[in-house]
This record gives sequence, C-alpha cells and structure tokens, in this order.
Amino acid sequence: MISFHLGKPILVMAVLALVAGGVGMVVRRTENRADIEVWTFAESHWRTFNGIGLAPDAPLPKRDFERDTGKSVSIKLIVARALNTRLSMQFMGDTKGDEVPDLVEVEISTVGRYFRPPVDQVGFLPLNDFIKRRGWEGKIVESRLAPWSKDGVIFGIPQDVHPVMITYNAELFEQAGIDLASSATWPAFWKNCLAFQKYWREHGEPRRWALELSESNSDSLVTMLLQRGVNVVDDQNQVRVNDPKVLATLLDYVRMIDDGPQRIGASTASGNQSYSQDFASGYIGAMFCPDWRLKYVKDYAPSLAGKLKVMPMPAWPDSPYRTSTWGGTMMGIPRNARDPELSWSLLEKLYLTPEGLADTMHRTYILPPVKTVWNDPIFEETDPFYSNQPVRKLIRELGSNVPPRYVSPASTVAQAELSMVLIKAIARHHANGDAGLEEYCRGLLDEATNAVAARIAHGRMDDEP
Amino acid sequence: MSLEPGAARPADPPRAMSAARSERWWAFQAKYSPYFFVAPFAILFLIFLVYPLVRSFILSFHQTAGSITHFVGLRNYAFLPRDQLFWISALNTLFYTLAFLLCQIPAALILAILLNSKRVKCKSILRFAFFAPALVGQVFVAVIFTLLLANNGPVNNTIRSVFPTAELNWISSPVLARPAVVIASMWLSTGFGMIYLLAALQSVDKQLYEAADVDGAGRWSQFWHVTLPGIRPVLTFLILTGTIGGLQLFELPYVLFNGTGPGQAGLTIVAYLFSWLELGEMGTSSAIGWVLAGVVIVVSLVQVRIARGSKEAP
Repeated sequence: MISFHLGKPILVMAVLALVAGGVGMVVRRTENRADIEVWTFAESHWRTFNGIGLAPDAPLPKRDFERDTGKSVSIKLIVARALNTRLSMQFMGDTKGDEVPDLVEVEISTVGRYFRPPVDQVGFLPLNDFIKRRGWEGKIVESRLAPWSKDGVIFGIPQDVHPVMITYNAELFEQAGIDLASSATWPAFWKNCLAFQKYWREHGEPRRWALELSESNSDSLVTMLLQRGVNVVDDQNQVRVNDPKVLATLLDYVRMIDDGPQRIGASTASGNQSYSQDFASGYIGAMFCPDWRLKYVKDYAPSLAGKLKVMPMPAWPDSPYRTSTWGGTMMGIPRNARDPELSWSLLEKLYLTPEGLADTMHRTYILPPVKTVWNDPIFEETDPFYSNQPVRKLIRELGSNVPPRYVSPASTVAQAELSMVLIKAIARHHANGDAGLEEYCRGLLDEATNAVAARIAHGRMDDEP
Repeated sequence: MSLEPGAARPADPPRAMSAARSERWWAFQAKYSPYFFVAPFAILFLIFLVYPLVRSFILSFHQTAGSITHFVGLRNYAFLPRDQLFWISALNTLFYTLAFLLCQIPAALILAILLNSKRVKCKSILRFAFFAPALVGQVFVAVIFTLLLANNGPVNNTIRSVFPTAELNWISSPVLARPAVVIASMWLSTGFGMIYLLAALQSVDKQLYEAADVDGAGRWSQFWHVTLPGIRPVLTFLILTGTIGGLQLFELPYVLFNGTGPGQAGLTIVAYLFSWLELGEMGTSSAIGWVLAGVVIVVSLVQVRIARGSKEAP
C-alpha cells in the first residue's frame, strides 16, 4: 500500500499538476506565425480584410497579396484595450522579433498616447517617405493625415474621413410642418427645433426632443467646435480650451441641453444600439451623424426605413465648414516590424487601392480618404433607407471640406476637462439661468486650460523643446 | 581465513569513506533542507512580488515615454496634489468607500439577522440567493447593471410606470452615476458580508442571551450588549476589507460607464492611475500606486488600532 505523508488530496493534486503540466509541454500548440501579421480592433475591419461574408470568388486584396508576393498574411482581431496595452508595452520595451505585428490599426481616441515620445522615438515608423515614393502625395485628404502626425511626421494612414451630418426623422418633422433641411445656420436650426418640440408638446409628446446632445460627455460639443475650426489642443500642442469660440459654443450648448425655454436637446444611452433605439422610439428627432453612424442606425433601427433624411450641419457665422469630423482609424507600421517594405505593400493594398476599399465603401457609408476612389458609381446611388437621398454623394461633398483635427496625448485630457466644464455649466444654468453664466463659464474654461497645460508640462519629456 | 566472534574487524576504508560521505550529506540536508523547501516560494515571491514592488518604487521617480526613461526625482509625487483629477479621484474613492461601509454593512447585518431568525423559511435558498452575486465578480455585475439601468431598461420602465415623465439617465447623468455604482456594488457584495455575519451571529453564546433575558434585557438591549460585542471581530474584518476594497475600486465603474463616467463620476484612484498608464506614463502611475498603498496601510493600521483599543477598553 502506497502511503504519502501529506495525505491523499495533496498527492492527487500533485499528480494532476504533473500530468497537466507534462501534457501541456508535450502537446504545446506551435502556432506558425504568418509572414505578415496585422492587428485590428474592429470586427468589421477584420471581416472585410478576411473577406467574411463575401462570395468565395469575390476579389479579396489579402488573397491577391498572398498570391502576388508568396507571403502569408494573418489578420488578428484583438480587443481595443488589449491591443493598445500590448502595443504600448512593446514600444516601451523596444520589443523586436516575432511578437511585433507588421501592421496595426489604432483608433483616434487612443492614438495620442503613442505620440508622447520625441518624434524619432515614436514606436511607429514615419511614412512620409513611403507616401512620397509610392506617389500618394496629394491623393489622400490632407486634413485626415493630421490626427496621425506629429511635427509634420506622418505615422499612420487614415482609413476614413468621417464627415458629420445631421440625420433627422423627416416624417416627424414634416408632421410638425417643419423643413429642417432649410436651416442653413445654427440659429435657424435651433428655431426650427423649438417649433418641432412645441408641436409635439401640443400633440401629447412631452418627452420628444429635437436633437441628441449629451449633458455630460463633450463629444457633441467637440464636434461643434471642430466645425467652428477649433481643436481644443492644436497642432502646436497649445491648449485652446479658453478660446472665445469655445466659450460662445459652450453657452449655446448649455442653453440647448438644459431645462428652459431654449432647450432642444436630450441625452441618449451610450452605445450604437441604444441611441438607435432612442431615435426609433421618437425620443429624439435628429442627431449628429458621422458616416459610420449611418450604418448603425440602419442596422439597429430598421423601423425608420424611408423616414430619415440627412443634411449638412448648419453653419456658424464665423466658420466656412458645413461639416465636422467624429472618430477615425489609422493603420501604421511599428518601427520594429520585420520587413517595413512588405508591410507598406499590404497597407497600400488594404487601405489605398479601390479593391481594398470596395467592401468598406459598399457595405458601410464610410468615406475613404483616398480621392481616387471617389468617382465610384456607388456615390451616385440613392438610398431607400434614407428617403431615396443620394447619401454617399453628400458624404463625398462634405468629405472634401472636413476641418482638420489634431490629436496629442493632451487631447483626451482636454476633452475630459471640457466634459467637466460642461456639467458644471449646466448645473449653474439649471440653478441660476443665464444670470452670470458667461463669466462663470469663462472662469471654468480658464481653470480647465490651466489644468491641461499643467498636464502637458508634466508629461513633456525633458529633451523636447 | 576467518575471524573469531567479537574480534575487531579491520577498518574498511571504502565503507568508512561512504559512511563519512553519508554523514556529511545528512548534515548538509539537516542544515539546508529548510531553505530548499522555502526556495520555490521565496524565488516566486522575489520575482513576482518583491522585484515589481522595488521596480515600481524606482519607476515612481522617473518619467517614461515609449522606451525612454528620465530620472525626475520627486516630480511625480509633487505633481499629484496640483492635479485637479487627482483630487476628484480621491474624493470619488472616499465617497464610494464611505457609501459602501454605511450602506453595505448595515444591509448585510439586517439580512444576516433575518436569516438567523427561526421564523424565516427556506434559509438555504435565500442564503444562496443573497450570496450568489458575490460569485460573479465586478465586471459581470457592471454588464448586468448597464442593461438594468439603461435609458429604456427595466428599472427606468418600472419607475416610468408610476412617473411617466421621469428622465433617469443613470449611466450618463453626473447626478445619478454615483448612486448607480453604489447600488450595483451593494448588490454585488452585501451577500458576502451577510455570510460572514450570519456565521458570527450563530457563534454567539446562547447562554449570554439567556442570562440577559433573566436580567430583564429587552431585544434592543440584547442586540447592543450581547450581539454586537459577539460579532465585533467579524465586523472589524468586514470594515477593514470593505475599506480596502473601496479604496481599490476600479472595474465596476470602469465597465459600467465604459470609462470614467459622466463628469468623472467613476474616476477612482485606481482609474486615475490607469489613465496615466494608458498614456504610457509609468512613472506617474507608479507614484499614484505608492500613494494609494500608503493610504491603505495607514487606514488599515488606524482601523486595527481602533478595533484593538475598543476591545481592550473596560
């Protein structure tokens, strides 16, 4: 009889651990790394790149690339937070070898962190030379290179332009006798929205609001500021939170969202499904709609088919833009990628050629930043879901006039500060109305500017100018 | 040739050497075996705990960006009190910690007392039902509450069936966001406290109640003078773990708001630390981590001292 002085349970656990460890070592999965590994955070991009949902004989840039170069390509879908953490750690540790991806997609709200080091130490490879050498200069919408650049050095190729429009429930507005598309300026738009709400209050809809606006998140406010030509942190890393245009826009915004005679806005729950459902239920009549939102509304609010229309954003008196920009994705090559030339070739295939952009253009409403594909016939097509309007044609028109957006590590902080200013300003307006609001907001914006500037100063590396 | 019995054998050099070797081996074992037994733990402890702690302490005096590191002395520590977000995160953390202690422990005690009562039926089912949320973890609870507290979710729909014009944006309103975290957290961990308190209640000596009864003590007096002193060690433990849990709160608000929430209502100290980590500023993150560690140590020591003091008091 075998005895074990620590008792049977310990013996069983020890044997199990040994067996499991042994089996694990023997049958360890040996995954052969593809010649080119691409990391993406967006399932829709992953599906597009892998041709999921396409006919087997449909053209697929990835397959063409593999055939032409004889190199294998693996597209990996990684949750955005995990992707950014892994990539940041690799850049921090100057990792080399098989662990490093050859191409990576990064979202605009997270890209700032990669631009903290001096330009020559940024983990991504500068692409200016590739763009020049391969003849892409002037063919990509200039303003869309800005978010992915630092001091004139381009670190990523944009996938999109993301012009912003207003999408509105034409059926509800028409019932109220309002032609919202005729609102060429913000004051006119505001007036029409108030008339819309008045009509529906009189017709038993006390919870119907004209425009989706957040009372706590500054996304919509930043969209309006970009339309007005203001980046809260500009291309020189200067904080512009206390710019007079920010103050003026903030005051309007507060009056639009807070209870009172001027209110036209209401918050929706976060998430594409939630706001689409609030739109479908008639809780809101219109919303800011970058091109990517159009697809979500179509998917999650099918009951709105044929009832919606799109229009350019109403104009500010001091800005030439009838649109703004919201969101964005880039693809970049890590500095330690094994074969940057090969990586660039695939990037070019996926992001810059008509074949690479076809699926995104046809399946979604996303406008590519490559002007050479803007003459695709799809841009002339009318869209039954959006009341037979040529939606993509409008997107293209607005896309060539998108204001530049700059991104730095401080942009996220500035936007967070702006959100807090917004909340305080709304609370103040709620308590005291317009009395003293302007002075109060000016003080808040000055404080926020100082806070962001202090953070920039703290985060600045000693060898930076 | 043979030796007579009792006659001394001549020394066998190889055997003697072997015996000496064996003796040395046993002596070696006796001297060093404890170290070998402790070695696996010690090595893992040094690699995975001590080294990261030391490294993070050193990092807290540096500034990092990408692969670059600069020594900046106490600059990271000096920056924190000047940063508005640090104070917001500190106040949020304090609010959540106090809210948990003030809501959760009384709620857990009430549940435990109810379940300890002879009049309550189906105790096992109720015990499991109250404890079950503690098994699923903060992330899962946050996901559930995102759905429950959605604009058109079941909670709001129920409220609107009574107040039709009520606008309750739990997740996006800065006023309601903090109560949303407290509610979700209560659902998560009240059952956990209840289980401990129930065990403590059941271990209070019944004779003390009988004696109190004989002395004419009422129910409240029995609770105050018998029950509470009897469960004090468990209460101390729950207050201590609740405080530490509150100070380290992160996942629940972070998932619930998909970030730091409206008006930074979900920005706790750990979320503030994480925000610097996301920017690749490991130095400032480490400094925040050490400040938090210091606060946890001090608060724990104070609580233990208070608990010990009240125990020793006549």
